Amino acid sequence: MVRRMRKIRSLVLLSMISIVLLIGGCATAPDVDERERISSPEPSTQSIGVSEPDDLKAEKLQARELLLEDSESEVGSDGAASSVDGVHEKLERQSDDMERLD
Amino acid sequence: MTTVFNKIHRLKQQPGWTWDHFLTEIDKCSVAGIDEKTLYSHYREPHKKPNGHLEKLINQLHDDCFPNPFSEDLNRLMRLYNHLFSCKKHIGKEKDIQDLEFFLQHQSQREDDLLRISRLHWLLGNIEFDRIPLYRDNGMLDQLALCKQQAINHYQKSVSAIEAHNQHPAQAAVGTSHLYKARHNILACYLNAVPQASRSKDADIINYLKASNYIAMSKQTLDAEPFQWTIARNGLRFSSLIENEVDVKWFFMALVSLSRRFLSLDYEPLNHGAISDGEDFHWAIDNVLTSDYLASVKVAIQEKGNGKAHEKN
Repeated sequence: MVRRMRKIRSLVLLSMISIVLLIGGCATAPDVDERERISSPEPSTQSIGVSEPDDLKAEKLQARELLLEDSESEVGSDGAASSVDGVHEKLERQSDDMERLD
Repeated sequence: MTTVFNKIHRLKQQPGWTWDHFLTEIDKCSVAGIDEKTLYSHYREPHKKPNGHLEKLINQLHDDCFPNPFSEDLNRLMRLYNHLFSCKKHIGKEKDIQDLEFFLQHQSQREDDLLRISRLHWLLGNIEFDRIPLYRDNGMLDQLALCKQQAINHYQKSVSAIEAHNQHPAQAAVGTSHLYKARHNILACYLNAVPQASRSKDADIINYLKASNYIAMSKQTLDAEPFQWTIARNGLRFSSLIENEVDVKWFFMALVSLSRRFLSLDYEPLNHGAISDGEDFHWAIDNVLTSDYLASVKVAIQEKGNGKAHEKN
């Protein structure tokens, strides 16, 4: 009877230890594999030195105009600026002082 | 501080600088170049923060096209001081700044060259200028009054030296933009020395603003370089402080003409707060830039845009 009790007690103890280890292991595990943290490079457009036909040039010019004009369509109906591009940096400011110019 | 946004606009404003030419010039400076879309977006958006590569390339191009009239050694010293001042980890920073100040004061007395004297006083003015918020926020009024006056004196000496230099016909004159910057710094000393809540009632600010002809000078500068949104924003600020409705509208339209984003008073351009957050703009917001007025400006701009589209068609 005593043997049985001891066996049960040691089993309970073992399972408790394994649960504690399991929880501890989960808490210290890294969220993301380091190898996954490789940022993709910014695409760059380089001219390739080949002369373009006129219609292609016109298309490029049109696309450029669209790129320059599309800021206006990004302003919402209430006039609020979208900050989806993630570059709208907010700096901590104590007050709206004038900055000096160099 | 001249932003990348301003530099791109200033470069683009030059005769013959089409976008193709601009991109070719960039390619000459760097093998990697800049993505076309990135360049356009920095041209359009006053809130965009440039990455190091873009900033370096645009600075290089700008310096080539618009060389700084001051000696490179003193410009670098100024940059060194800016880094020292903004460094939060530097132990004994104030002592090092005091040592630099001591050196600059001695050097300014030894110099003969007017532009070098001007730049040394400019840097001495910057050192005093940067102490103003600390003394103001801690209520150290005697030190505040002293450092404000010293900063103003240094900037004034800098202006006088440039003006004296420009009177020599044999030497290349320093452009008006540098004189504008030094005078802007003097006004900034007056403004920053006063806590925000008291600025609209401060006699020193109002008197200097009127005596210096700052509003008219700002309008002149904006006529030549309409992309300088910081000048338009400061013009709006001071027009609001002196409660001038006509000028508030003038500077607001200057901002909106540059970017429609300014139609929202909550818009935050790079390194600046929203107009709606600045106490200096309260009078303008309450009395001029009302929601009805903003809506009417928006409609007017849309109609203007539609008119242009019809003309194109």
